[in-house]
Formats: sequence, C-alpha cells, structure tokens
Amino acid sequence: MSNAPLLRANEITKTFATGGGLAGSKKTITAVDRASFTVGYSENVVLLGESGCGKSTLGKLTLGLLRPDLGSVEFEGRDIWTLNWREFSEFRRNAQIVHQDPYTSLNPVRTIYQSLAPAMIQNKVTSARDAYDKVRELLTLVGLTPPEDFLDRYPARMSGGQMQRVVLARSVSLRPKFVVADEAVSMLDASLRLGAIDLMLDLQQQFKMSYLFITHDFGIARYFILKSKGKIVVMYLGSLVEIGDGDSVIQKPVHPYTRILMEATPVPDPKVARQKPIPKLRSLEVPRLEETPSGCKFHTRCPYAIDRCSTDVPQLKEVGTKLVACHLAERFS
Amino acid sequence: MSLRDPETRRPILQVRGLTVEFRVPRGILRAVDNLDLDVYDNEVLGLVGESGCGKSVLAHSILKVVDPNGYIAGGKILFGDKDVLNLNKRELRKYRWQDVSVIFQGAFNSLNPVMKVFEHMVDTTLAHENRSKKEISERSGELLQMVRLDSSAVMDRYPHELSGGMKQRVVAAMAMLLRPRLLILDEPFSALDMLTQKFFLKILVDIRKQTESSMIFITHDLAPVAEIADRVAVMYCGVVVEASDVDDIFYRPRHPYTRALLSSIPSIVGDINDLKPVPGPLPDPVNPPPGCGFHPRCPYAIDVCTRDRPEPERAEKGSLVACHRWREIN
Repeated sequence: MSNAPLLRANEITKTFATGGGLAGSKKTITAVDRASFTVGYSENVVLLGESGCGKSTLGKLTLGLLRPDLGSVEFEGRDIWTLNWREFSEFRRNAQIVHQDPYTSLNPVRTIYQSLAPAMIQNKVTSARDAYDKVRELLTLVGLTPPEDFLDRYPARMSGGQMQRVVLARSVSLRPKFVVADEAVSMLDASLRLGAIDLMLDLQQQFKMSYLFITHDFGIARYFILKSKGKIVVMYLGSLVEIGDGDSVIQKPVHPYTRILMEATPVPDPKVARQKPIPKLRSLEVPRLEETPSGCKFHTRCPYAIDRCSTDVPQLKEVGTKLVACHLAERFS
Repeated sequence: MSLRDPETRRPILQVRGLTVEFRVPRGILRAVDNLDLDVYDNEVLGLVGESGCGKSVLAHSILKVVDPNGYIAGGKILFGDKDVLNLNKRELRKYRWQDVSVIFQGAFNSLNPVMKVFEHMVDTTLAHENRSKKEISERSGELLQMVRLDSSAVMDRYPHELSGGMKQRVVAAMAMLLRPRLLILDEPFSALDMLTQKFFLKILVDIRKQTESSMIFITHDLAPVAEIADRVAVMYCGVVVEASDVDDIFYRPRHPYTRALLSSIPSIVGDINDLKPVPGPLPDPVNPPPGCGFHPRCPYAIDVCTRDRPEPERAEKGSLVACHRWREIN
C-alpha cells in the first residue's frame, strides 16, 4: 500500500438545483465548495458547522452516497468513482454511516438480530452458523446486556438510547475502516450523549477505524476531540474555513467564524454567562444559500471584514500549525 | 440580579397538585404527576428536563391546550385569581394571549404563508381586542423594533421572504402584542443556528427588561438557562425534583439528578475529566419506577428511595428539593 491517507477529498464541489416550480426560476445551491481534507488511518476528524452549512452533504460525498460535480474522493489512494463494481462494494463495506436519528435508522419490522445478521453473513464477517453468537457479542460490546433480551426485540420496544447503541453496533459490524457519524448524538438526551460518545471511542479502540464526526455543537466537538485526539475541520456555507489539530483549534481558534461560534456557545455557568458580551457581528442574518456572498462568504457578518474580503475568495493557507481561509489570518494567530 | 425575598413574593401563577395523563396503546401515561410550581412576578423561570419528563405537557396545561388523547386528571392552576382549568370558552380566550402567551417549539413554521407579517399582527390583535389599524401598526412597529427587526421593511413581507431567525423574532413580537404578563417559550431555539440563538437570547433579556413580564423558558439544555433564568425548576418523570435560584442550581445543586445533569454537559470550558454520563436509560413514562423516579440511576439511592416517593421539602432561600437524602449528601 502506498502512503496515501485512508481518505482524501480533493477540491470536491457539489451543487443542487432548487426551485423551478410555480414560484420562480431555478437556482443552484453550492452545498460543498471545493473542499479538500484528509482522514488518516485510525484518525478522528470532527467536522464542525451550523445547520445548512453543507456538512452532511460533505459526509455523504466521502461515503460515495453522492457523487461530486467536481473533484475527487480517494479511498486508500484510489478515486472511488473509478472503482469497478466489486471494488466499490468493498469500499462500501469499509465506509459506514451512523445517522442522526436512531428512531428512523432501524427497520421497524425487523428484530435487532434481523437488522444486524444478514449484512454480516453476506459480507462473510461471520458464517450463518455463528451469526447468532457474533451478534450477541456485538450487543454485549455496546452495552445492551443481557443480549438475549434484545436479539428478538423490535425497535419500537426500545428507548432512543438503546436504539442508538444498536445503530453503533451495526456501524462496526462489518469491520469498516471509516465511519461517518452524522450528528450521531444530537438526538439523544443530554444525560445520554456523553455515554454514546464514550461508547464510540471504545469501539474505535477495539476496531481501529477512523471517524468523521459531524456536529454543530462546539461543546460536543470539544469533548470528542479532547477525549480522543484528532483534528477539527470548520465549515461555513459550503467552504472549509479552518482545519487544524483539535487541541489547537479549541485553544486558539484563528478564523473569525470559528472564534465567534465559540463565543456564542452558551456556557453552563450563570456568572460567566451573564457577563459574556454578545458577539460582534456586522449582520445577524445568515445569507441564503442561493445567494452566497462574493469573496469570503463570511464577510457579510464578519466584524473584521475589509474591502478585499468582499471581492477575493480567501484560500486555505498555513497559519502556524493550522490551515485557515481568511485574508487577515496572520492578524488573529 | 437580586432576588426579592421568595417568602414574601407573590406568585402570578400557581400550579398545585397538577396531574396530566394520556391514553396510549400501552396504557395510561402520566406525563405530569401531582406537580407544584410557582412563577413569580417579573421573573424568568427556566424549566429544564430531558425528553419525556413532562415539561411541554406542563406548558400546554398552563394554557389548557392538552392534546385530545390527554386529560387533566387532577390539580389546580391559578393565574392571579383566575382558576384556569374552570374558565369558560370566552374567559379562556381572554386568558390566552392577553394573560399568558406562548411561543411553541418550531413556532417560526406556524406563520401563515399567504399572510404578510402585518396581517398576522392585525389578526392576532383583533381576535382579542378592538383596535384601529393605526394603533396595531404602531404597536407592531414598536415590538418589531424591540426584537431588532426593521419594522418598515418586515411588516409588508411574507414569511417565506424572512430567514428562520427573523421569523422567530416576528413570532416573539406577536406573542408580546397584547402585553401578556407571562410568556412561555417552549424550546425556542430548536432549529436555529448558534449565532442566531445567542442573539435571540439577548433579545429575550431585553424584552423582559422593557416589559417586566415573566417568562417560563422551557429547554432540555441547561447552558442557555444559566444566561437568562432567575430561577430554575428541574423536572424528571413528571415531577419537579428541584427548584432553586439559578446560582444555586449551577453552583450548589441539591438533587442528585441536577448534579448528574450538570456533570454530563460538555461545554467549551472546564475539564472534560470532570464530566461523566448519567448511568442507565431514561425511565419509561408508562411504567415509571416506584418511589423516587430517579432511583434506578441515582448513586445515592437506598431502600426508602425504591419505596416512597419523596415529597418536595423547603431548603434555604425558598428552594424546593424532592429527595429523601438531600440533607446528608450535601
């Protein structure tokens, strides 16, 4: 095997057409705009961004669930869209997803055993004869004990937290190398979120896969990254604006967007919270996706924007140990 | 923000022994269980709890708009001298929106797509009060400014021309139209992005300062509560397990559930090694645990907790705690 990382996104762009109905003309939305990043073997990458910034689309592109309009996605050094059928299904086995909503991720008319076993048998992770034991093992591993209680249950008879454990078990059942966790803990209640993250990291210890952990929550991102090491990728309106080692992005964010996002995150401490000033923003309105601003997409809200920001698109460039897409990055580092 | 002596303050809303049940296929779901709660004049009460704890049902009950498969099985709700559960249709109509208004979860999707913002304002006002268009326009303009919208521009727009955050602020302005004394906000942040949330929170603080109305701020997330609330009520299994002023909740939590919840919230500050998940699953509301609802997950649970339900006890500064062992574990 070459020195290629596990996954490499090369300048990928994905656009969607909207409208064109009765009420007006067709428009295109650029959900992901020339995004490049890598995920190493057993590495964790947190993709941080607000709703509508394109982070789920980016996740789906890395899994081959969507095909980029431009650019390429390479898995172990090979463009996934040039693979033949057999190779592509091998890639699919290796790249799994955990969806946001555990309630809709499981087939309601299948028992837990029926949800997990067929794929494992089909992909020869286990023989049909051993499948029962293998599924039991897996359920024990995700803390659904005793497993016999759960094997023949239907999802309707489980709580959200339990269902999410089944979904996590399923995500590792084929021994993948890469798992995209798309807001995997957001739907869970506050008291259950940390448990789910801890479980994901335990599974990683065991199976050595990489996570692309997608979240909008700075607190969750921080917990995940400080517990596990890895890097953070920050996304705004389809563009990657800051990429860096997790610790350093959390301790010293450089891009104004990352910094404002962090400032805006509420702190569960009344004294600190009451004194926190409201982040300085030029505009409160999130630009519509059909009309993304020229130049730096954040310039309409950025308190530091200069003339150049509205005309020139900033490229990701090295600033200290990070990659930052901001004309004024040096000033902030 | 100094709290007046809680002993002498007069509540504007008193909930006493409220029980709300729902008929579900598996049996009877008791969403709110013999619950007591006070809301005082000019205060923001944070009502915090996880999904299924009954916090939204409580809000619906305060407005007497419980879903058709549910019913209020017992208890009293007093707003001033009004006995809310016994109001007739006419009186209820006055009570809703004029005394108590509400911004429900996802309320920004509840604007009528074929009505302009101003028409919403007119409709809402005329349903309750007789006012001229000029008066309504002045009042709306004032309120839209208060939520930091450009009133002249927004008034003639249709909802689809506004962003999610703008719609949310329009709804907030509408809720204040008739000068209610109590505003209930049920998860007002869900589906708003972080920067919009932060800003909306600041607007709420402003509204409160200017109108001196009270607010019940319902959320599953403790962090924004720290910023806006004067007092916090924590719900679990249909019961308020602790109600204290906001500093006590965060710095001196008394109930084991409050403590557990606080130490399970990842934040942008603090040592992550101090964080730990709350063990065990959420209770099944159709089959809640006997005794104290939290006992299966509580590190301090003893025999009595599995048998007897703890009654709320008064602690310092007017706090209430429902736990058999709160004195010894603190």
